[in-house]
Amino acid sequence: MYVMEIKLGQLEDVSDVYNYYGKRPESGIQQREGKKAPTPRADKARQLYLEAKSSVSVEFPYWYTRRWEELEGEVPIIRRAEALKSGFAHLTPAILPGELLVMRKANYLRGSYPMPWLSEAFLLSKEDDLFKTAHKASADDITTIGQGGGNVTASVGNVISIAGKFGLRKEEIPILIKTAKRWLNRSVEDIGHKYEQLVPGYGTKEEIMRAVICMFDSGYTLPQGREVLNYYYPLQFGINGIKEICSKNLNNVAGRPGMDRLYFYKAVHTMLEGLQTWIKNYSEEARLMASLEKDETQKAEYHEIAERLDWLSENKPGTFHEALQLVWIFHVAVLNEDAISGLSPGRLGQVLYPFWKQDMAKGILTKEKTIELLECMRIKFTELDCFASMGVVGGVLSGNTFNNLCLGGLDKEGNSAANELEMLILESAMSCDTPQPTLSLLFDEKLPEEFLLKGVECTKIGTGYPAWINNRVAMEFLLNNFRKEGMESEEARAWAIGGCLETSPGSWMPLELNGEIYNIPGGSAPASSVGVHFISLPKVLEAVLFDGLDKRTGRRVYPAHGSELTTYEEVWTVFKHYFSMTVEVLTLTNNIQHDIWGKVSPSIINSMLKPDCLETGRDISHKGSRYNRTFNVEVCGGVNLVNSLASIKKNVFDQKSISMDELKTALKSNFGYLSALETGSYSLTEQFKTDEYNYWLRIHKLCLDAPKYGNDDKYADNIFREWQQWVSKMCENYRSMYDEPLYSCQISVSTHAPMGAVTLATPDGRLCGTAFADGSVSAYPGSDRHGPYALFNSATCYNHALSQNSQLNMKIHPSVVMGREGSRKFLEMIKAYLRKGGFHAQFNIVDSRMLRDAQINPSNYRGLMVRVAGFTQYWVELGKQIQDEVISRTEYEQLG
Amino acid sequence: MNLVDDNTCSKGHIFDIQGLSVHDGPGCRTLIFLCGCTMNCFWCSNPEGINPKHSIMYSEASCIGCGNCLSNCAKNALSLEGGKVKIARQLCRDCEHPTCTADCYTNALRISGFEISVDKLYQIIQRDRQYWGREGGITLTGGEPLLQLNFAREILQRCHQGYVHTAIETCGNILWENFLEVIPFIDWIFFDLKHPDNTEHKKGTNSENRLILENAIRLSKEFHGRLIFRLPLIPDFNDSEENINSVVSFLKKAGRKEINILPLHHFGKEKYTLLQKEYHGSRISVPTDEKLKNIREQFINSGLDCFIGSETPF
Repeated sequence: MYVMEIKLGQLEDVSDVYNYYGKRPESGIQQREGKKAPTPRADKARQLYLEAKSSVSVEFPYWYTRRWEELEGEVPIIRRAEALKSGFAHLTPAILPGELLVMRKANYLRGSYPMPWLSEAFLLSKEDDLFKTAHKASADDITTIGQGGGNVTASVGNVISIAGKFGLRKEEIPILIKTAKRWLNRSVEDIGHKYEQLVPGYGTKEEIMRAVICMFDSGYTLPQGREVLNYYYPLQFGINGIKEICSKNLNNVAGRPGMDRLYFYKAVHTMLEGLQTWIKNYSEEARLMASLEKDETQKAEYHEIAERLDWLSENKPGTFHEALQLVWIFHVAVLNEDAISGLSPGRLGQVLYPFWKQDMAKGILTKEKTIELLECMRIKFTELDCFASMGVVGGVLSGNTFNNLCLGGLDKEGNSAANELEMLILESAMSCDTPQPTLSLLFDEKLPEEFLLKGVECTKIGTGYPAWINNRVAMEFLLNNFRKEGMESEEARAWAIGGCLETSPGSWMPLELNGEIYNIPGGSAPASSVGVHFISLPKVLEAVLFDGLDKRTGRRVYPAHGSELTTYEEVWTVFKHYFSMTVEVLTLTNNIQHDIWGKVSPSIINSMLKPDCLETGRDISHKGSRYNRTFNVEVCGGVNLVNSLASIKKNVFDQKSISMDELKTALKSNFGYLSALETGSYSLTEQFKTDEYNYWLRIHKLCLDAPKYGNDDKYADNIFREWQQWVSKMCENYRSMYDEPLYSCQISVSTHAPMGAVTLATPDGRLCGTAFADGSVSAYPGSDRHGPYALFNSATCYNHALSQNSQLNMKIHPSVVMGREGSRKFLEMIKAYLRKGGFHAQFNIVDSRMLRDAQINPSNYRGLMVRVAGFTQYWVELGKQIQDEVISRTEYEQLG
Repeated sequence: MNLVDDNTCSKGHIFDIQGLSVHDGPGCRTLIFLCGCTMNCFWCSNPEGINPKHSIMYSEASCIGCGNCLSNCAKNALSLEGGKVKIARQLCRDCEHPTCTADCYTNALRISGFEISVDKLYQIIQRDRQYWGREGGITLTGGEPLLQLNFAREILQRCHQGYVHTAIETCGNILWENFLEVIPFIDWIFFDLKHPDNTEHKKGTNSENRLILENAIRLSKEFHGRLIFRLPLIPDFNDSEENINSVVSFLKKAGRKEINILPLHHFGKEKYTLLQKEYHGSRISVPTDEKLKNIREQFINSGLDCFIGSETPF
């Protein structure tokens, strides 16, 4: 069922007919089983979080910019280090009562700040608006804050809304604007833009962006992220230890060839001094709060915080609590360096295990205390906001920061790496079910059954995590791509998911703790997903059908191909041609943007953390990391492309039941529905007919009835496989700025909604403006009519290791997996899909009626979480279009 | 592994194949719903399975009244009334290749049920088998799966030879000779007991229970796989204490140790609307949790293990 006109009437009976043996809860809403309560401390913190609003501060950008200006003419990396140092040193500490882990991005609970050194145009383009709103808004003129949980969607009182999400104090607006103006023509965006225009065919790139065939440039929007952090150096050496390494290495290279190393070591040293001041400011704040505190327990906790921070500002950690605090400090520090989404802590349970195990053996830590700490950690990760423009925050990320924590996988020797601490991480994720960190379970046949069943229990409470990931498929992908840089199977095992679903290389590092050596995993590559980002495949097909035009605007995107499209092969050939043109020009322009980023705003903190930058003396933008083949081509709407090709092949060429001209006219006429571009209603479930509706019925039915991916139908699946195999090979024809070939990445995140919004009706029967299918191997909503096993068969018709990932999202009714037997059977199903070669599967265990009720009564569902395209988020913080899309996904429902 | 359809194998009529079924045998299973039934229980949740072949279903809500379905109907069974299609069910013979469903633009008219060969079905089983996991298999249900005896036997035999775990869900109302033909290829049997009293049984199911009870006793002796009796619990029909006692006595006579209770539900109701049939079950409320608990206790106190609905021990 594709659209609501048809759909509303049939939604109930569709599920009845296809699942008639199934039992829907007669009335009311089926509750998820296995729900547990968090510890009182975490519960209190979560309440505070839920009441807090996303808030923007200008402290860091102000001090950063001020120092930067003072150092005109200085070596860029030194200038950057000094600016960062000044930013950190001036961050106002903010500690909340009850916190066991402290320090945050800015001086608000959900604080973040713009980074005009990356991109200032967005802020300046808003300048007029911001001033107007700031001028207009007053205490009397209170606008209601719309649906959206912690999002500041509208200005209220003295708080001005930015990008529909963040609130900024009115009096800080002039500082923000003034600071942003200093970066005019000096930001990564502006300098990059100047040089990208030198790329031949740059005009096509502009048109590609204008037509929203590509969603965004990664170079200045989110230059880092989609990667796994590495906490080894701080945990092994402490901050003073790293400074000593820098000083020593600096002495070795000063005045010798390869002088950039000198500046790098000096920059790291400088930046670390800034971090030390930042940490010490927090310990002072803790002491101040202790002096004001009446409650003895809280007072003592503040003192402990102060002592812990004092110690960690110089030394390596000795306990689990200290190690976790230090991990958090460096996680936030990296996030404060650049606009970053998808900075994953990686296999944190294995990184921290040595500390935990020794504390437990000493008897200074209990499982209960561990759970409490882990719950506090969840709240801290959930607090993280990423400041970016509306298009990036809403359109791509849905406000998510993707701090993906991985569990399981294999250890250095190739045995199960799952440990008891990871069991507790799962426990705490069940009791304190916040969206971050989201969890991924790296499945391998060697993992113990009890661990896997704990993962199933967690999945069953309906949080959407853990996502189930295939360890062996990931290793095959990594070895294929990083062998040239020296990766062997032992090191391939150290991988983890970076961001929402990006397979990222890692390394084993020898952590020494009280005389024992532990090989801990951590990321060892820069951002694993930058480059050509989110090409809208159905939109490229639209250009193919309309001779290179963007039919929405009438503008020419590609040179006219002039082909009559008289055979299916011609359609496919022209598609490949246009797609290749797109990848070519975007690769070249993005290479320039990232090169500029590396030149004027290089990463210092993340570079310091990543092996082997400290050894090589080069930062991550100069191939200092161990692995550097990390640029990719991301695509979106693949399933709609394949279904559309299948419809064209079947209807226009095989059966000749529709002529190409008829089809094109039908697409332009939106099959007789009002265009969402006119009605503004982009929801899959709210489409309106025109008088022409009956005229287009026949053709629309033929398009809807054409073979669809997800039904184990070879007609569609063969097209799907051909597309997959072609795209993964073609990416290798293009080279990143590191002179490495690109690979393909198949995640849609949230782009399937905004990219669908600007795309005409498609030959598969999808209507204009509605969302594409999410993920890469999820079926289009309602089009998989032969059950999950048929879908699995379609999904695994090609080798998933050809790409960085594949993505399968399924919504499952709680009754399918009810009880202990349900858990076992659910695990069998997951295992079976992964054994067949599936890379990823994740599950929404929710009743779709619950979701519909949540749309109507969002306030009753503040804590409800859903899975959309690779991540977990609160339902009420998602756009309505995405909500509708989730509701429309096929629900597999069984006898209860 | 793609098998060639050799046309020598049997064909049968089924109305659905459903993967990831979790309550009709061990593991995750594929359920195959065969058309046709010897009984007509008033609470039936699969009314489209009673017809021996396919049935035409009509969703008024989806119908746009375009009338495209009318012209090609060989029986002239369709007309438009008030913008909606009216099917003269006495004229409509649910023909072999209905044009009305093919002509329908919005799938308001559609067929439930289709013909499939043993080869094709076995291909699907081979596909699904990859995803069952450690346990799992097929369960033939319906309708009454043994009504299409040759088809059922061939598919069960093929599965048995291929080491596929097989189960059937039967109403028991078929000749003993028919059971004899298939039990060598069956691992598990779910056997419905609807009412121990013949008169009452006839009232509720439109058939006598004599053959059913005989078959139940004989299967208990001669079938060596796992035999599970199921009691669809219909309030005011078979849920009295006295009735439960009769069921207990019967099960003990048959030497059984367990009973699986399937509480009445109304999830099939919408399908009656689509088939334009009257649903007589709606006048009865579903059993309360309290009632189910009491009945379970009654069974357990009588020395029989009892599991309800989804609480399967397998």
